[in-house]
Amino acid sequence: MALRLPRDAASVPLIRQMLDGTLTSLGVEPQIRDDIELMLTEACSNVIRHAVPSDEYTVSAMVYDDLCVIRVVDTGHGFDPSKVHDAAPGAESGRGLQIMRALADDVRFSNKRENGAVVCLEKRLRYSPGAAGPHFITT
Amino acid sequence: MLDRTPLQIEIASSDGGTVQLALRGDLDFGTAGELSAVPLGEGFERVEVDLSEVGFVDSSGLAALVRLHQRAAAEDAVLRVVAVTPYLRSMLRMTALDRLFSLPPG
Repeated sequence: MALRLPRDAASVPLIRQMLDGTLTSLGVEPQIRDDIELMLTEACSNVIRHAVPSDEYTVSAMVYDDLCVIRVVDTGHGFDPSKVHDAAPGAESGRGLQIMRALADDVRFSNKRENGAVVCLEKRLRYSPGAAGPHFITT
Repeated sequence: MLDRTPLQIEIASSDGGTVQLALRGDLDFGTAGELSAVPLGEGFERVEVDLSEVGFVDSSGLAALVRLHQRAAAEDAVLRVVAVTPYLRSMLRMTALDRLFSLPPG
């Protein structure tokens, strides 16, 4: 699934619940779905907070075999993830990237040559017993 | 239909100088500002936060909890999380916030 969304806070619970609904239908384990919801939320709220001056962003999610790959693409000015440090214990902000790195099996940040940033998150899926998802796995 | 779960905050103040906050719903990017805007009054010594009915929390929600902790500290009050879900406990550990807030044993 792929969606182009307005750069607006209301888009975050929308995309979160859509992806969670899809993963539920496939029978992905609740713990894995919670992790995916949270990492997706962090990636999207970063775009809404920081990706000036863009009006829109795109979220795509693909399930290949037992891997879920999420790409969040904006058209803002991009950013340098190496300049973002983990939050000090009492600091208010700076936990978004920390959370993404902790929950995803792989996180990649890149900047597009034109303009904008790409966050690519990968999560290894596990299915509940009797789930529909593994029947679609071909390999 | 999408079931958005807005944040509800119940506030109770006791005579003993304790402000009790019970949160229900999602504490996230869209609702974190509501927690930051909650009036605490003055002259309190303890803030007790019940997070057992919170379904979803993200880094914006955690930031709002840190701000609440700072507001309590500014009044020389102590903030305690008195109830928490296993999910939220693991998130507070992951982000090292269990060192900032005292959490109930579990």
